[in-house]
Amino acid sequence: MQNVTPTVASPTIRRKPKSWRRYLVWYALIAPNVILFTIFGLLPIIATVLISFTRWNILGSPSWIGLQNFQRLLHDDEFWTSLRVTLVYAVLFVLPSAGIALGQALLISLAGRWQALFRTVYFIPVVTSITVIAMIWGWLFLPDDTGPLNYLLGKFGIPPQSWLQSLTQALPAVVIVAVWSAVGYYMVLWLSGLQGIPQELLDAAMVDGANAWTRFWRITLPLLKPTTMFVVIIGTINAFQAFALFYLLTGGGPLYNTTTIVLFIYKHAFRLQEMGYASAASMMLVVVTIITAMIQRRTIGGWSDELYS
Amino acid sequence: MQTTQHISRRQVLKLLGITGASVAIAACAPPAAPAPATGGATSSASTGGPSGKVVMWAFPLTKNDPETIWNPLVEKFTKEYPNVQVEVQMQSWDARREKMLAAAAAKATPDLAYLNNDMVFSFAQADAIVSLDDYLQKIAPELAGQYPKGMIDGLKYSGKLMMLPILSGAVCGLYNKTLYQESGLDPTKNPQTNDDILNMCVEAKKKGYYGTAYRVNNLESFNAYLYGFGGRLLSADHQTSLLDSPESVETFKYIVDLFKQEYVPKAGATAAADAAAAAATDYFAQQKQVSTEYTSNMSLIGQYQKQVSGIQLGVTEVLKAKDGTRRSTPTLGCLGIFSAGQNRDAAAYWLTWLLQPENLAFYNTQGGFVPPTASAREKWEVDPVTKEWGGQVEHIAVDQDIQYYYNSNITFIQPVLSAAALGQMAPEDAAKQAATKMNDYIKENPLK
Repeated sequence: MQNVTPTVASPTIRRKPKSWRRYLVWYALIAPNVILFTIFGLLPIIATVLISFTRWNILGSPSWIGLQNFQRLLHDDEFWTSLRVTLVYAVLFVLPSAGIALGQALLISLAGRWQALFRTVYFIPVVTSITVIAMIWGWLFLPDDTGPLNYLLGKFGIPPQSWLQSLTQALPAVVIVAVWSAVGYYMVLWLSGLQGIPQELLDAAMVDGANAWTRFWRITLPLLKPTTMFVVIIGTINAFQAFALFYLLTGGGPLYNTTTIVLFIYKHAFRLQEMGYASAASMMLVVVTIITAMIQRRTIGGWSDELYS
Repeated sequence: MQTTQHISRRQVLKLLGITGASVAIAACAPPAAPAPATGGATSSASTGGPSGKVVMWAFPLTKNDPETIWNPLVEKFTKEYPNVQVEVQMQSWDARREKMLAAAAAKATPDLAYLNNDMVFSFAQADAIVSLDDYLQKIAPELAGQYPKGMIDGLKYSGKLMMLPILSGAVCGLYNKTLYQESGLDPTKNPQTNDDILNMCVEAKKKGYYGTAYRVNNLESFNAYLYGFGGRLLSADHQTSLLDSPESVETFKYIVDLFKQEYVPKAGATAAADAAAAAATDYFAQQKQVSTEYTSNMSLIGQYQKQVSGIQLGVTEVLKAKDGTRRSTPTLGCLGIFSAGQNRDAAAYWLTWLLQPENLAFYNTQGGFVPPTASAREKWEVDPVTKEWGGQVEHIAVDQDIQYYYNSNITFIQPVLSAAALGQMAPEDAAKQAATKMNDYIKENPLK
């Protein structure tokens, strides 16, 4: 008889790993993103903050001047003009873009099998080169009789307009181009929001006798509030960063009337080689953007939270 | 028996850590030390000549510069210097200045590059480029002497030569001889003064043509008229803006009048970017405008000859001031060697070789600009109109206007001139405001 020694399996003692070890894999996985963000996002931001306290012409060594750049900004009429232009542009750009895009999305959602075609057509300006857009609209806006828009106006007995050469019309003219080129992007956002609305709710409302307007006002729009917040905040941030169209169409003129804050920053950074001053203006832009986003979050965000409470 | 090797989580983490650390170390490691600048000595191969790779940044002058200009030149050079590999990297003209500044600030420059003369001061002051004196002394002692003295003097910093021109050009314009004649003017007598330009505009308007063009963001054009009135941008000690001088005020009034009388297309009153503006308002190509604006862009000759069949072009020369003198803002495309370059010695060989008369002539023949040395101009093969424009390089002047704060001027002129051209501001006030802003800028950014 075989002598069998019963063996008792010794219980595996599993030590509870220390919390940081438990998450080490996850830290490793997010590391590439964090490293890239640090190099291309965080460090430039820190550098901008530091440079804003210096006088630096890009090539030489920066010299520390404390708050002088900020003091100079406070007394710089051009800076305040650019801030005003940017804020006015943001309002003129965001509201029509969001509104027109929502209208387009609603119409497209009714288009059935033609939806993809319309979506593509409206999206084309979004993927078109901004330089090409500026060249085409620059031609449309020609101020004399040869300008196509003025030619059309002439057909209705309206005299030729100065458009980009006018102190009062230049900004609205650029807004028209900006809205035209951006509306397709916001339309796609609205469309995805609309597709998230349960059809049963709309059907139930219809059974209850709600007409199209009531269904839109009472069901669709309230359920689109998260999308609304996203569209408005993204639109505002894009408006605050407006540069290319202004640079290409008006160069900030006439008489600073279309000088946005980013154009102001660009001019001081690269034309005048005042990196410190440009960085200080960038810091001001960050502050304005954060304040605006907070206000929007409080108004639209609160509105949206209510929905789910 | 099958053996399965399990890799523990710890091992995976170790591996990741080692890989990450290696990448980080590799990324943070300093670049290979640049070849020492030994006062022009070469990075010697066994043959004793220059060796290694030379990287150069160039900007396009034709539709296909690598094929038409650089490949033939590099091939020829390599036959002479087989141990040097030259790589010419084409850069876009867009945001050229910004790109160069950023590269120099980050010390991410090539060995040498095409640089414009207005960059001499800021690049040299920041030690971004090195002096060419020692290199020239060792490699090509005769080279600098081939250039006009005024041109060379303008490229010096603290007495040291920092760049050498590879192309040059004066600020001129073109006129359509047919429309000029139709306007009742003698096509063999081109406009010589500001008054002649104005007279051309008056006569052209009678026939329904624009006389010329003006864009408020074109400093070359502003300078053409300012010099025509005998004015300057800066005082001789480069401490004071002269934008409010009587000559400058006269220039502002003159330009505003061009817009007011509709002698030039109105679109130029707004400072749209060049490409957008040009596409929208090229009335010269449409044969509705007698002359082009003043510019250094000589490629317009070929462009219009191709675009408008049978067009007869003449050159509106550098304008003559009342005292009979002529001066033009210089266009000097130069070559400079960067202090952060990896192979500066071999780069110096490439630079001096490129500037030999035969190569200079080839480069400018293909590129449509003017060789800056007389010996190269003898070998320069171009059409008569280009030759006529090229002859104006004798009027280019490199002085305080160009060396200090040059590009800043237009930043302050543009908005107020635009407003004046649109009737929103008196020209006198515009000139005064531009000068005030420029003087504030000089105070904020004193030169060392």
